[in-house]
Amino acid sequence: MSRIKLLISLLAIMFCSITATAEVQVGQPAPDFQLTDSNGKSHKLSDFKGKNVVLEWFNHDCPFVVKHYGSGNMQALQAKYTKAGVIWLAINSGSKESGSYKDPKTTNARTVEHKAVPTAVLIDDAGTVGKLYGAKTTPHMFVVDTKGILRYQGAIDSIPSAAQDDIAKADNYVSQALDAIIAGKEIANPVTKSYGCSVKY
Amino acid sequence: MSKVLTLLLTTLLLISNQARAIESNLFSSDYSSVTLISENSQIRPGEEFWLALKFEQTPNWHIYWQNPGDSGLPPKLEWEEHSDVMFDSEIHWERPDILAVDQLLNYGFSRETVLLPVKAYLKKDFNGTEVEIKLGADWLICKVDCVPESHTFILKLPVGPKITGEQAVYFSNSNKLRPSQGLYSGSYRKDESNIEINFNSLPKILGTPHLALVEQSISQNYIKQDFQDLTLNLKIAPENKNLPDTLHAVLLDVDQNNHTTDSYEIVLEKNNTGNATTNLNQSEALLASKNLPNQAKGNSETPAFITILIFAFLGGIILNLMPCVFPIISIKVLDFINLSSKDPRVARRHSLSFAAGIISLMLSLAILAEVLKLFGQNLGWGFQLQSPIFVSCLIILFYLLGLSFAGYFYVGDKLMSKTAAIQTEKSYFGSFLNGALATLVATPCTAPFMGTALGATIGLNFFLSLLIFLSLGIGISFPFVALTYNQKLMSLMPRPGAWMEKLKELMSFLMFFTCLWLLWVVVSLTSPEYLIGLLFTLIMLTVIIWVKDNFHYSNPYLKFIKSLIMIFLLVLAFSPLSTASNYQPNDDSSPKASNPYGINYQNYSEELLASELAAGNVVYVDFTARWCITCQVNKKRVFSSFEVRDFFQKNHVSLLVADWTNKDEKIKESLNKYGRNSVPLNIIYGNKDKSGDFRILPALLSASEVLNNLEELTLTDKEKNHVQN
Repeated sequence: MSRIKLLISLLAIMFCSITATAEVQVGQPAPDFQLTDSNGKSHKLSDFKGKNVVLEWFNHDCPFVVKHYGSGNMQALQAKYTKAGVIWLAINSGSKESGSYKDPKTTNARTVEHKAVPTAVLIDDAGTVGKLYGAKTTPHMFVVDTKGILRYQGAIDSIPSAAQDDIAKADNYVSQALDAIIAGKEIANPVTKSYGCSVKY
Repeated sequence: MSKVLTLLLTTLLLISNQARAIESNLFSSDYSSVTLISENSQIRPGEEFWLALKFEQTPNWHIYWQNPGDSGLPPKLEWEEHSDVMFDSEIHWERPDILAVDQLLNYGFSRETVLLPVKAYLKKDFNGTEVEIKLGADWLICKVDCVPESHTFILKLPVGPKITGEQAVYFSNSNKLRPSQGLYSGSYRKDESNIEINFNSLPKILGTPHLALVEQSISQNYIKQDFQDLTLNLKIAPENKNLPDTLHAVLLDVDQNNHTTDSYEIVLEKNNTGNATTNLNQSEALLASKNLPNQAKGNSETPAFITILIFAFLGGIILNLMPCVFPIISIKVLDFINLSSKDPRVARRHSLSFAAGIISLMLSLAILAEVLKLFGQNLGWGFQLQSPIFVSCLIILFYLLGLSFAGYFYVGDKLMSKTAAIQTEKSYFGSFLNGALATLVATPCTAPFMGTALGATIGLNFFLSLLIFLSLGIGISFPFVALTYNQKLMSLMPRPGAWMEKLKELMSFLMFFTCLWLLWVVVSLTSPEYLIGLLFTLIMLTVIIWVKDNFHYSNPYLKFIKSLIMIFLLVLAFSPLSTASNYQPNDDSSPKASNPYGINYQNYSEELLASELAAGNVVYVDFTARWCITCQVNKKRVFSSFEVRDFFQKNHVSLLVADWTNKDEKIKESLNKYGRNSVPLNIIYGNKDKSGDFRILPALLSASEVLNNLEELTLTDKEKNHVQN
């Protein structure tokens, strides 16, 4: 009897460790999660089934995030695609001890200051969702389609730098992916290497 | 007193001014201070020189390596185009440390000072006194937070005779921090998102081994990787869908603080089934076998190693016949015959001393190569012939030996004189030195067997490569030691007599021809002016010998004057050679005046080879060097044949020539990839089967053999049409 218990607990540990390190894969269902936004409202990924969803990892103190917010690039993307019915979730996975974490009030103030228009800003100070998706950098972008399938993961664009001048020269992978999904076409670059500061777990 | 102080201060200021003159403007922030520095405070037109962006990082802040890992960015350098200076695009990266934060793994530099060295070249026809170099640099520096920094650096470099600057020490330190190159290799196999890496051998790691890929990212964020003996499994990040045929990696020796204490460059070739080794003939396959023994594996590989030792031994015996060895050894054998007719025991002792000399020098060379390896210098066999000074000394030595054989004067112990009865210990030592000399001189004549046997020492541990050199030495010594120990063999030799003098005189011509060949090597390393200077030295040496042998005085004053004159003549004789050190080996590949191949050829590069193969061409690669006599013979035998040249032209065979006359790191690396460290090496890449298959030709070639191989590997026009249909 105790042997069976031991076996079960071993299996349980193994299972846990597998799920802890498993990273999401393009073409596979995007794992569901639940997080509270900066206004105290709870969101589940599965609530948005039927809509395309963008997950954007950010940290406003990171120069690579500053590159895309300072230039207005990120806000323009958010505005363009939320208007087209896309759900845009900005996620901050910085732990409470890190400088990256901002309380809900500050988070909202920053959103207003940046004129950012995501559907919601989610606070993931435990880092569970970040680790679930294997978010490594800020920014790190994911696109989930209407069926809940992960379709894109990686960088925001093709030039890894912190210079705003490069934005115009770069191919924006996120808008490429979204345009392709909306038009029902193949995504040219479904997986890229994200660039930026590390997520401050 | 104050005057002295002022003087001192001014001198100090002057000195520091000089030092500052080779530094660019300084970039300085709370996180870093950065300057562009030059190794030399004065550079010379027509020569390469080193520049580096030097980072002094604030403690705990770090910039990133070429592969930054999960986050971060490598520094980016953009050289402003210059009409007279050319910049290498490649940064010679120092070894990175591991920066691990929770779930993420980065490669960057924890130490305070980091150099990003880059090679540059000042064009030959530049005639100004200064060049101005402009570098735009962007880099990201992080602690927990990251700060992107960028700056334009302007460096004014004086032009004139080369002067080593005070910054040179940074460059030599940086060089020590570079991964050791060309020592380790392996293969990899991809399966979904996993790659299985098999190393041919691995260095001794003191801390934790960690393999960092240069271009790809790994999705396991652990410092401790799962090394199983010589195998490593890694999970590659999903964005690396198609991996190239060659993966570049650096093996890091990581200590407890995640600092890297040592590092090794590792080249991993894609493992396709039915790869190149099947085309090698059996003996070569054994030698080139990827499963060379090492300490990690047991006795199972010993037979292959014994085969290598046997080949080394046979190679040693054959070395006796090489044109630069034969005269010296055969003259020595004459001594043995002579002595043996009087007292066989003395002859045996002399032959053993001679053998000891040969073997000692063999082992010393092996140790020297190993020591230089430790300092990051990688040398192939025959490397001595890339130094003008060494070759000049050889020429003088051969010339004097030639003169002595011709009977112009007598040198050393007078073994040949018929009265030599009592052998002192000193003359045994003489035999020992003769043996060492014979070996030193023999090294350039890389015999066909040597190339393969020595190629096998790449990646072997030191003890085993010593064994190979030992058995080579025994091989060289075997014939004459056997001769002195076997009276039957000895009795087959002709009686000592006048024929010996005639043979010696004949050998002198061989010596002079060897000189001629070496003079040709020297002129290719230096300039015609230097050649004339060297010839002057040779003539002057002849004059000195003449003076020495023809004017005998008993008067001490006259004796003294004679000595003075001789010293003066000696200084005069060697004065033209003082410029030898100016001729640094460089890989400025100037177009050759004449085309020795008689057909069009291109200078080899791995990129060119890849593009030729991609175009579906048959490619003939010739690794050669001017000082390699086997290569010259091959070239003559193969490319003087009209049939061969006709075949090359008709079938559009691309001839790629890798000239290793001057030290060239890239060619050296390519040689290593084929399991060699010496030339000649001739390879045919066919287009009949899958591209990328190649055949290594034997070291000594004939036209018909090359033709046969070419025909077997080439798709004729007829067959091409057939395939298309």
